[in-house]
Amino acid sequence: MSNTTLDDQYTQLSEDLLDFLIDGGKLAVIKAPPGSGKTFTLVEVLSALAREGSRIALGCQTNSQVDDVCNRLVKKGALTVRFSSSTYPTPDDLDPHVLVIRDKKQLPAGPSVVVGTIAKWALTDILDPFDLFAVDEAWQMSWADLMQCALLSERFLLIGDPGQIPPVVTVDARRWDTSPRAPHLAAPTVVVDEPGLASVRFLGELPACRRLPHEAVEFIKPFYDFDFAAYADLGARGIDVPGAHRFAQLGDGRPLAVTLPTPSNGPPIEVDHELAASAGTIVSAILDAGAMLRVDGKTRPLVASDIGVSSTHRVMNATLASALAPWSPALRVDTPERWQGLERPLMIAIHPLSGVTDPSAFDLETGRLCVMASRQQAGLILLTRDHVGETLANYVPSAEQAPGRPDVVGRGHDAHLRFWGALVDKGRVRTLT
Amino acid sequence: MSRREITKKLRAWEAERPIPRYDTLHHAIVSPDDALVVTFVRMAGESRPWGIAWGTAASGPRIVSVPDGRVRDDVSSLCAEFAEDLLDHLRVHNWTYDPAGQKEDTSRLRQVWLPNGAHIEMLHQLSYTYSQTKFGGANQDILRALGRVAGWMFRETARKGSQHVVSASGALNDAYVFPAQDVRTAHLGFQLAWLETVGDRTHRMAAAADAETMTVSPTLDPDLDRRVLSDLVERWQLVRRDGGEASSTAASIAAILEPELVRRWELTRRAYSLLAANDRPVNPGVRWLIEESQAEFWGQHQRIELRLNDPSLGPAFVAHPETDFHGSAAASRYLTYEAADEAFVGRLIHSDPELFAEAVDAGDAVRGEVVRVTDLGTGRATRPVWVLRLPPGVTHRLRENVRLTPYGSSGHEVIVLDLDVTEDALDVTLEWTGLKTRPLSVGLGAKPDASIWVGQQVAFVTSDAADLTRRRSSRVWSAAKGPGAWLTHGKFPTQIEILDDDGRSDLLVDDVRQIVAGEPA
Amino acid sequence: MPTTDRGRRVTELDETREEARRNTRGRFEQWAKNPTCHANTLSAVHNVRLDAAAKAAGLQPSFGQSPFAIARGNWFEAGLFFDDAAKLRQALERKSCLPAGSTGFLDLRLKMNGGTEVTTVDQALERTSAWLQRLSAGPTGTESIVAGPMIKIPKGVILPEALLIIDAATVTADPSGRAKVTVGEVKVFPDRGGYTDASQLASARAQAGIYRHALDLAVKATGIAEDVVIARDGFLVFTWPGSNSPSVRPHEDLTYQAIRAERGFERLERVASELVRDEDFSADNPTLVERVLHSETDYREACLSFCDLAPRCHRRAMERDDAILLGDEIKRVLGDTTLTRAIELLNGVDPDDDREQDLQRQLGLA
Repeated sequence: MSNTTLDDQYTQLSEDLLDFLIDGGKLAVIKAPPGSGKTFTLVEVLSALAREGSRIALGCQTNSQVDDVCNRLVKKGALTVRFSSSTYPTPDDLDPHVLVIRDKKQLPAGPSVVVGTIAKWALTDILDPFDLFAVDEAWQMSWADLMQCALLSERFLLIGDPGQIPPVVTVDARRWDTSPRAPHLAAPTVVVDEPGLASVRFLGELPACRRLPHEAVEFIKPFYDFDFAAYADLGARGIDVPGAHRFAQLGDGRPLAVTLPTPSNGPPIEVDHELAASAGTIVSAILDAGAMLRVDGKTRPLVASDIGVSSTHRVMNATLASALAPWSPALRVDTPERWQGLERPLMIAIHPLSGVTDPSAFDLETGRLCVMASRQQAGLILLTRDHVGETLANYVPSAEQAPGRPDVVGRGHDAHLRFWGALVDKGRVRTLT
Repeated sequence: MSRREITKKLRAWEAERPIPRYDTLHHAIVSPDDALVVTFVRMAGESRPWGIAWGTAASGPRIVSVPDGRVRDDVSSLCAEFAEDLLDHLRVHNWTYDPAGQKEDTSRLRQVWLPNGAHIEMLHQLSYTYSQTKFGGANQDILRALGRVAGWMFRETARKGSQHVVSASGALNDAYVFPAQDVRTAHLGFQLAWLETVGDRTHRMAAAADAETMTVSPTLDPDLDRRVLSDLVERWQLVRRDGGEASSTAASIAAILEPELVRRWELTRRAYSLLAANDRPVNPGVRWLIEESQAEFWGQHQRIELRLNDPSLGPAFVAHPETDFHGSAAASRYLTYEAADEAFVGRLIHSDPELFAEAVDAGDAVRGEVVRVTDLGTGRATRPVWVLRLPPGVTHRLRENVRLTPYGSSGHEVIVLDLDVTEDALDVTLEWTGLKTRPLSVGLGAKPDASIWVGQQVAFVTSDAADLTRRRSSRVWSAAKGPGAWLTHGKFPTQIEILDDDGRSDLLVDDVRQIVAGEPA
Repeated sequence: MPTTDRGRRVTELDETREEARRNTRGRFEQWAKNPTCHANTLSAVHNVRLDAAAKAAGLQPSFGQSPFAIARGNWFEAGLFFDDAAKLRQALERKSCLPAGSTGFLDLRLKMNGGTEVTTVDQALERTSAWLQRLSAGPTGTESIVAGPMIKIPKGVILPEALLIIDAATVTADPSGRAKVTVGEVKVFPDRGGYTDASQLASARAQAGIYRHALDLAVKATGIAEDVVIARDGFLVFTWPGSNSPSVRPHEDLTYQAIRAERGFERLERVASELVRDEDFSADNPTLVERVLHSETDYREACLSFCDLAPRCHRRAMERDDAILLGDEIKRVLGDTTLTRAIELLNGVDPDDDREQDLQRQLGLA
């Protein structure tokens, strides 16, 4: 599909959404694949609504997301307010035209976009409801959290990536598994699954992933229940490592799985020092070889700050950080939870099942792998012990979920199998030498 | 399983016996008079009790059973008898001369000890059967009261830190690491054999394997059912159907069920006694957990009981056994459970070095050197700020805006302002936000702005957001007045009709109908 | 009744075959609980019951069902299908699995399973096939509830003539007017919402997934896949706690459980083809029992919940000082390192090799 057609689809979606909201529509849900221009679309729509006279509240998940959105909104000419808690220090890079307000009584009464964290909005008693309450990264917000925001507005816009990590549930929530509005589930999931809301609901999907190389997009599709295209052109992105380098395959934009043999007695627990050291070896090899970053016609040398590393376990991240210390702090190491919303030209991700020979439902949950496999603009290396394919093939999923709940383990297992299978089928799995 | 847990299991194997898991006990152990031990047996394939044994740890058990666990009326009578003592023990309004009030001293906690999770599930079954029953004749009121309190007890066990209902097997697993497969340590007899047998590992293992052959679950050994009970019960049914005298057959059945009940009861009492006589102290933070549990009992049960008896006191709804259908009820309870979970470790960690060590391993606590102390306050206001230096590669959950509490000095609080990663260290900038002018209870015992902290090693644990979460829990009700409530507080009534074998129907009125339409349960 | 010895042996063999066929589902699920244990695989493939093998090894079998549970299950099922499946129909209509006013009940259950007309396996297979053929002409006039349809899975080598008896199925019309068959699994487990026993739910869904997969194969094999739709979702029928009232849970997504069944059967066939040496699947054959007893095992914690040979594996683990004595996780970490040696390493002795050094590091010593 050509980019012109995709651009038309983006425009059409924004227009349809705007029309819906301007006409009094009360509930809109937009599914966004990773790097699909979600925040761009949100900023466009909200600033247009503000220009039409709307007074809007926007909720983000973290303070840094709030700051980022404020900076983008203010450039569109909207009166942008950063609604802060008393202890939050205003960052230096916040646009000076963004109004910082800590007292709800001072919130503007006229057209504006007021941006705060969900945590802030949930505990604020608003004197004057807004025309619209929008939520960014909405799939990270639980239904219980949305309930607390009922004071804010009659109308809701939820936008986010359904493939990413769902709200963390740390308590025994079995009592509510069969509740019609389960408080621990992601808010948009409850809305989308509710047949009674279909007549009042606008449901849309952003049409393309813009962040990933064209060739990488198909690998993340198993994590989604809707289709989307690749925005980048074929062959437009990659990491070019000169010569017949062992990582030359990165040049075609597809993910590359690099494996270490699994010891006959099984992989290490918690911390895989050899794997962490291998990450250092890989970074060193790529940078020392003078790798070039190629994105949409522009080429330049790859540097340490272009690389991001992710592993699901904090203990492993600490070991990775040590192994990658020569490139710190430019090279960021973090969990997928903290990588959400961020991107790098080259990502190195430890496969979530590396070292896991007996996967649990938690291990097979796809959100973390989806996040780790969708941060890259030009290249992705999955580093893992080589048992993963066999572990997945041997795994027999049990559907233990409460009655009426979706089979997330089965779905997760299937998605993992298809993801790994695609890497194998396309010759993208190789042993680290 | 973490590295720490694996090491503990190996140490237990080396010690040839179970070893303590933590330095303190994390659960209240009440006096023998205040600990009611309850065990059930039920017929395989059925949900209701076939027999119940109950009695305080001080008094010994009362054993009551019925010949056929499928005869509804007989089981109702059994449960009514049990209910009298249970409701009195828990000081439930209307069933005792000394009902629990809104403010109770922590010393007045009453507990119910059951062998394991399978027995706790029987409480859920009682809730389904009786909480809104239309049957039971003269016993209807007490059966409904039993159903309601059993439902509350069952739900309460899912709330972290709850103190009223104790799974003996769970409590032993919390207190000890067993040198055995985890799946086996769910068997109370197995656990007690490991703990109480005198001798080396071989002796203990053999005793444990032996104990394991006797089931502790509410259902009986299928072989016992096959060889003995099946025929007896059938005989009893036939005699009764023919209008004959079945008491001797009934007595034979009771004679088989009694030792089964007694065995389960005794195991539970032994677990209670072992923990009561433990040389480890109960963690001081448990006092807070008791207060919270008593508040839950008042708010979620006792207050409802009062209102059910006297509607002028306000509205009350009986929780549905399956779930909270009403959105506000569901969200509010969910957030209450979250708050309990957040607060739990924070309450206990300051008095338990092993729990603290576990938190360090998991990244929920950090220890570092104070390298700088400044005061950014102006005038008389003080704003102490520290820079804490952590070694490189340490596991941590630190992020900007995360709140921490100094280990051993609960009440104090800092917020993380900045993280600066260098090659050989991680410098964390912390601003004091809680008790910032009061001396710490650890280390030098100085105030946060004192420069003598420089060079000192100080540990911090993640501070909980439980108070905030509790506020969120009540907000879901008040948010129902908001303009967005059409979406967030939508209502889904569910009427479930249960037909019994005789075609009689029993209805469970869901919470939505009760709350919205005022339909009585 | 046959009068000759040979005749009696043939009859016994037929009955054994029948028993083996009926237990296809149970054997497949048993295998799935520990797919890497050769003894378990052979037991499932050859239908050598684990309690029989345990007895032969001098162990006391401990798993078995209480007669009360069996009676309850039979009673519940019988009640569901009594009087033209009135009770089940009411529950299905209430949950919109069937439209209000649905009619027609086809009872394909064997008489020994509570049916009224079907006496042999071959009859059941024939009638099920005839029923599917009728469905290919559309749902109009066909029965809306079917009990006990029987399907043969064509997996000739490893699970000869694998037979599956589906508990219940509904027939409705899909939007294009074709007959849509939805499989249902009936269990006498209490439905307690989110607290319904997880393993019972998993078991029920696994079986429903097998049914769905089998029905898919059957309609394809009979060339009517274009005319008959097999629903991707199914329904579960549990009991309301303390009652014989059915609790129906509709719209259970069986997609992945059906895939599980398909992959599982293929994998079982692959694994078994490396182990199985002949086609004799008589459960009492002493040679086969011995083969099971002498096979390689892969003892793990899950075995304790279903395998009567587990005590023997545990005893052997004790003799070997095997880490499995402390559970699956410890075994995974220690591998072949004995518990005694692991403790020595934990106490700081010099490691003998890289593997031991790595183990010390994992345990936090290096």
